[in-house]
Amino acid sequence: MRFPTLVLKSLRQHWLSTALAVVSIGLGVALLVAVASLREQTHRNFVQEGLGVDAVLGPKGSPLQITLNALYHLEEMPGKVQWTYYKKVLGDEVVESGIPFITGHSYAGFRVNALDERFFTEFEYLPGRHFSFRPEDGGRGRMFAALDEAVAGAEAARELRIELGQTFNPTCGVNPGDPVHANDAIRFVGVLAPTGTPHDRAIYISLKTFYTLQGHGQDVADMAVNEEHREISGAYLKIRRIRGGAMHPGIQDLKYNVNQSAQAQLVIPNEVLPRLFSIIGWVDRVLLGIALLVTALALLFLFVALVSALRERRRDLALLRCLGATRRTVFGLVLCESLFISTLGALLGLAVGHGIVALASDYIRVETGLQFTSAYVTQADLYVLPAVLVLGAVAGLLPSVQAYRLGVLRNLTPIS
Amino acid sequence: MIVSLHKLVVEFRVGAERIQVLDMPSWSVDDGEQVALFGPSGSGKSTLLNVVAGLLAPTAGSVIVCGRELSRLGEAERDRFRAAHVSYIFQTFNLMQGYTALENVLVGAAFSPGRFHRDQARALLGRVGLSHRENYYPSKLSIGEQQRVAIARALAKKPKLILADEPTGSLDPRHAEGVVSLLREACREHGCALVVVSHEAKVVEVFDKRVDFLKLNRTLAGVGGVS
Amino acid sequence: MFKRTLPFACFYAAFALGCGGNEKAHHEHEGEHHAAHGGCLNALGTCENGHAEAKLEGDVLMVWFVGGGSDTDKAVRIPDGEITLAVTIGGEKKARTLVLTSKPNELAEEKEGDCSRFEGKADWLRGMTEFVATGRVTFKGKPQDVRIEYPKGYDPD
Repeated sequence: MRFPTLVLKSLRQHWLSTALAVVSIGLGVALLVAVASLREQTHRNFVQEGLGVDAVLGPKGSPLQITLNALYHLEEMPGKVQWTYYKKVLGDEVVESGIPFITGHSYAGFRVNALDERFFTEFEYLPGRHFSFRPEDGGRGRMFAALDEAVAGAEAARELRIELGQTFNPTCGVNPGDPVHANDAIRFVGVLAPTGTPHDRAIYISLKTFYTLQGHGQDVADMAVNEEHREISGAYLKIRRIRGGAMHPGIQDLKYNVNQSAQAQLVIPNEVLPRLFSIIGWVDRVLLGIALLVTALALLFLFVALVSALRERRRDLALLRCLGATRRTVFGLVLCESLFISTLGALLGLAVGHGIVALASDYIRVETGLQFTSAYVTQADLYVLPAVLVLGAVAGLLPSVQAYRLGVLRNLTPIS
Repeated sequence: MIVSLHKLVVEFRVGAERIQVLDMPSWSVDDGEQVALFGPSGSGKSTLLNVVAGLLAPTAGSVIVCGRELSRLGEAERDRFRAAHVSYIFQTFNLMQGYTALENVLVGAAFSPGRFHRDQARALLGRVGLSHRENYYPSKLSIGEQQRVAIARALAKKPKLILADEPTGSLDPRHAEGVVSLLREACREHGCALVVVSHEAKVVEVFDKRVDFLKLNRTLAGVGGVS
Repeated sequence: MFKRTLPFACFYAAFALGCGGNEKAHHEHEGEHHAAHGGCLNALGTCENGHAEAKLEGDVLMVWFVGGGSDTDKAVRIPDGEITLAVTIGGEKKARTLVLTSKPNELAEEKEGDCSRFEGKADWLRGMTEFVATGRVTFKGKPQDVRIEYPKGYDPD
């Protein structure tokens, strides 16, 4: 019977406390791993190059609200931007191009956004990546052409089970109970290939389609042809690059100039979102703190379990000494039990933590269109096992020392 | 000689007081010899066995077992020595309650050099008549069966010396006779020496060599031993 | 003696800390002053009143009039069509004259007489590393002295 067998035998003998210790360590580690992964992936998702948008021209109001609406199809735009003003901004030397859009409509819980068709041909939602309708990329159909045509993002199409040729009536608003354009049936002619971005969660129509929806009235219909009166929700702006691919430094001057206007503001998503994270950073700090606390409590439980198990095992350990085990051997036996439990707990926690992320990923993808993956490896994954091992060794140290100091003859008194 | 003691003294400290337990001028056991030590309770017999087993360091004197001077060895060295050469059978068997009969035999050789396989353990259990009980835990074994497992465990490491401290103390007379007989036969078969400590006449009388501990331990010539 | 010295020492320490603390607190907002165009900020009167952000590029001096305190990214429009600055360079005794003309921000619907940005051009500005410019503007409806200390900025507090 070898040393590892002795360790395992001992753990089996106290299987309940062993299992509880493993589960509680696993729980703490799972929380740590899950929180760290979701936190890092959230950060990465929300600050990934502004999802292809250098700047958003939007109405006056909260920059965060504008960013969330323009890029993540959340919230509502706080106002409108005049088309003439948009054209003025487009004429600035640092602006390479702009794609105007209108938000504020929906269908079956998904946003219906109107935008310029160049969105599908010129816009890079991630560096080097364009939208696609090609079947080999996972798309279907084509871009809208006629006034009564729309295309859907991959996630919207999947959830709504959209088939090409199917029609829908958009809702004038994004809240339940908002009026429906009952006389405006729009036909799906295309489904975009998945992009792993919030763009998967929207339905798209042309600007002209939006303006000419019957329910909007003549004033809005005029906007289709009359630029002087035309309004948009905002525009995605692409800024010129300088050597090295960096954004033209003139963007800050442009932002200043636009922001002095009473009409609109320029929002740079990569400036807004990190600020958001620093504000809500306390949330994940609290979660991490809870996870660390749970892990610490679990290791404390392990310590208590080992100490109380030692009391029951004095006789057995004394017997092992009598059979020829040295003090160092029994010290190592108890320490190895602690390390084994810690290792098992850490491995369990890693697996469960990634499982939690997998479950959360599905939910997050469905709710926001953002891609999370359970395969994401964080620093927590790399450090948790050695850290738990070290702490497990610390937890097992006192019981191991007690085992070392065990008196053989004193503990081999006759049992009744 | 497998055991050779010379001017052995063992004292215990109780508070500020030093109490002498053993004072033996000399004693020896030959290779393969079977000896019974008898004497009243508290006469120091168990202490002698503990010294010979290397569980207790002598206060003074020489203790040579299997050619090694135990008084010069450190505790860890004595542990390793015992693991290789000396087995101990207790009055209360001291089986590991969470181990089956087979596993208790296997653990008997866990710290000895060389490999000891399950088949060998099974053979030993068979030798003591417990093949059919190999997967039983001690709580499911009778008193006599438990002691036989202890004997099998003692033989696992192929010791040169087996020390048995009141091995029949918990057994009824019928079982006691059987266990002693088994122990003696097994030791004879394995060629190891046997020292049995007992206060029971029926146990002692079957041994060819019987030693009165009262005459061996000079401490007892005085006030008396320590329990 | 110790009994009398100790209270004084404590009082002095508290006073010094308090003053230092107050002084620090008064200038704490300085950390929040951000020059929106990368120029240097020059307080107009006090920090809280407003600033003139000055930036020299080549032979052109650009000046933006902005808010006080942390509002240094908010434009303050000036009704003046021109601003004349007396510019003293290094150890020169005689100041040079530089006229800044308004450069309305079209995107903010500014126009002459309602403008926050001014520019002045002169050959002698090229390569300049340090100077002091003074002048006067109508700021928030009142005459206001302007002092520009380039490149470190000006803060009388």
